[in-house]
Amino acid sequence: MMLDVVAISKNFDGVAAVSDVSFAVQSGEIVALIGPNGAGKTTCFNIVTGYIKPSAGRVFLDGTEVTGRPPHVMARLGVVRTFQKTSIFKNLSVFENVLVGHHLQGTTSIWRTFLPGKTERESERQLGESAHAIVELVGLGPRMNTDAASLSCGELRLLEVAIALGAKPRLLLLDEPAAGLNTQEAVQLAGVLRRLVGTNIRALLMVEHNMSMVMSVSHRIVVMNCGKKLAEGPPEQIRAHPQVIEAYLGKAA
Amino acid sequence: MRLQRNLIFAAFALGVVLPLLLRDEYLMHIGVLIMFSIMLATSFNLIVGYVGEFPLGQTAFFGIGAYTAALLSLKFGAPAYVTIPAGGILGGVFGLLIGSITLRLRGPFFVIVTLCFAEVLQLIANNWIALTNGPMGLSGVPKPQWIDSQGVLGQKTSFYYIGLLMAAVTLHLAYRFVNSNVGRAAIAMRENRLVAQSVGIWPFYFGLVTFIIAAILCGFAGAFYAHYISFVGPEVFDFSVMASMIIMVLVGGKGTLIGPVIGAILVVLLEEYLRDFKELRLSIFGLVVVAIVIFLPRGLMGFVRRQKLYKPK
Amino acid sequence: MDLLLQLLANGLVNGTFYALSALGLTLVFGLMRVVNFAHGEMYVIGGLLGWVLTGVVGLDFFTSLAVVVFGMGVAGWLIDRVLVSRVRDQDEEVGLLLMIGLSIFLANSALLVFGTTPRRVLSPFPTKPFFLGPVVVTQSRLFVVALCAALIVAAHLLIQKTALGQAMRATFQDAMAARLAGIRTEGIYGFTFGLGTALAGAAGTLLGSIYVAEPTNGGLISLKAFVVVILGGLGSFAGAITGGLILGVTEALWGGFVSTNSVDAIGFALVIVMLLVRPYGLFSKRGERP
Repeated sequence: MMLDVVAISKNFDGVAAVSDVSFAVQSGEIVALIGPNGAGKTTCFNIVTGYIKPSAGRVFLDGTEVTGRPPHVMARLGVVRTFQKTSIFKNLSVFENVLVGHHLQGTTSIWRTFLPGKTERESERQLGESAHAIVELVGLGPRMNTDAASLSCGELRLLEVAIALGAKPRLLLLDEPAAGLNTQEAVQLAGVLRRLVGTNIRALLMVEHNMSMVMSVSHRIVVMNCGKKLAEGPPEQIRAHPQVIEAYLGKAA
Repeated sequence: MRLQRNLIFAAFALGVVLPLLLRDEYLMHIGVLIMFSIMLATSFNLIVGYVGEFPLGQTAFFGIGAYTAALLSLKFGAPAYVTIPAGGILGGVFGLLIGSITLRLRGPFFVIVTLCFAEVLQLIANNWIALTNGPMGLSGVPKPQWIDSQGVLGQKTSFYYIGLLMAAVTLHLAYRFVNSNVGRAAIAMRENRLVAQSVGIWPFYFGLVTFIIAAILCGFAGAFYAHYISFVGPEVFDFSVMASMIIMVLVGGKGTLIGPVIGAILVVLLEEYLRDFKELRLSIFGLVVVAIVIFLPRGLMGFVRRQKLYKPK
Repeated sequence: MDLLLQLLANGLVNGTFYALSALGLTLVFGLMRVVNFAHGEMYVIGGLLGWVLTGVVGLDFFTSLAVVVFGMGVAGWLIDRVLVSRVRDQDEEVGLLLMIGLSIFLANSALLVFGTTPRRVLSPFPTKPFFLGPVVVTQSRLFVVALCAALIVAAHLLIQKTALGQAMRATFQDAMAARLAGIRTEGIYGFTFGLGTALAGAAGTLLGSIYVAEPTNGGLISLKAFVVVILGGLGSFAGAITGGLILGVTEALWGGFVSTNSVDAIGFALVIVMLLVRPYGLFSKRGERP
């Protein structure tokens, strides 16, 4: 079991954004977290990655408890996420964005910062190469030195994934990676995602509304509604699940 | 980046040669002021331009450095090559103390609390007579032996070269910082805190590191100032020093390496030119700030392409 | 015991002054997210203007006060429309820099015009003592306290009970929604800034009748006002009043029992403590910050 989310709840001033939700992500899986808007999916993400502390419940990573650890610690433990609203460094170039993502690979020693030796220079060179490679991997090669602010929506989503990849995650959490993408871009993204699992990344958890992508890419789907878990299972099962259909489309009149 | 680095090297070369051409006390004095303004402006720029916060109490570290140097040399007879590093180190210590408290805050709170700290230090300097001699200050801070023995022109020229060296070191440190993993982390923090956290950057830590580095540089500048002027009083904590720093970084452009250099040169020259008109000069300064903020918010160097983090091969 | 009561009385009197002085700042801070660094200078100008009107021109106190309030209000409105509005959509620090530049300009221009001689605003009330039990307060101080309180109440009524005040509060909560509801937010910002300036100027005039008005005071006044605002919480009326009273009383007690030299530092010490314990002030509604 890679990620184990146990009975988490979160209240905001009396509103239960998340209520007693549990699910797990195994090594080698792509799990999708779906549900109508306001179902609490992003809140779950925020809890797992440490941006919010849960009101109740616990989170385990590879058996160790990580509830409430701050985001930068979670990143160090290999859990990296992207965000719903485009979050990149807009004044930096594509390359620089991904380079920043490599932060954990670089040195944080003050000495070496000011008195760099050969290992330092070598390390910087490797970071540059890795960033270069990742930009190519997600298909942004032609835009390597463009300022992030001038990218198209689809390219921005790819850049977000690229930045997260720079951090060499073991568990990657993607918050609506296909939002704003057209069909072709979504297919391209799905391809990238499928290729990722099995590299350093052992599992993927994503929140997504694009159903065709979810169905084609996920091994398992967790459905949430009004803060609670509604259902869980492989795509075919969820597709036919009556309560899921009702949550999305409403009861037949 | 390439452009900036070359410009700085050129300026440095010019700086080395200049005293040989202009054998003038007054000009050497200006030169010293420029050198140590470069140090102050660069240190302020580290926090404003790279971390993105506004430490209005930066003078605290300048003052600490100055008083440290003065006290060490007056009470213990320590030589300059001890007092100047000591000024920097003590600046750094205070940077750690003040930074760890204030960096938990953002925006206007950070601004005001750092200012409060500077004010408290000024009050202490004014009132702890036993240590600081209060408003009368500490006078007679000795110049290094080898400088003392020279004539006035020689003294000023020597200080100029020391200042040039210190400014060069400061710029080098800033350059190394910006092009390192640590510097990138600070920039990332400024650009997008949430994403920075998601890739493992701990905002508080990197903010603090940058703050301490800036404090150390300010401390060096303060210690140097103490030996040059030979007098240290509570005015070192004055807001006017802070205002100068702000204007230098604004005029030159924050977030670049050369911006503070240009800003320092321009502001020192402007201050000297307007020296005779004290209040008018400051009034004009105020107008200049307002004008720049409205019309040229990125400073003069904003026109130059903002520097790249890393040149991919 | 008598000493304690006297000190408390002094503290409450000063506290009311601080409260009025900080009111304009907290309104502008809270509503417009602008750190009005020039606040102290506006106070100073209010005082100097008060001196000009009462001492030189010879108007009576209340007329002078009215002129100051109106004049500073207009000036503030102009400053907002001409300067602040241009930087409103940028980062907070840009607005801060603008106000710093303005404060440098104002402080030094005032120095140029008025010189360093401290001036007094002529008060219609004598400095005869007034006895409240064991406590002594001068009549002029009592008078100013009353006026301060009146101004605070007037501002409160303006904000809570008038349509204009309602528009201000709406803009404070959500500028976009206010605009959608038809409120001309630009005008609201101008009015708020003008109100803040007017209050600062009024405080300057009122207090200039007890203390002195001099151009070099601006910085300390600003800082003390910031202390009050931080103690009480941004944008909170009750906070400004409470913060002011706390500062006034703490300073009086410290000055009386410990030492008068370091009185100014006490405010800063309070701020530092407050920021460690409850960063958003006593009355703030803000929660966690990301």
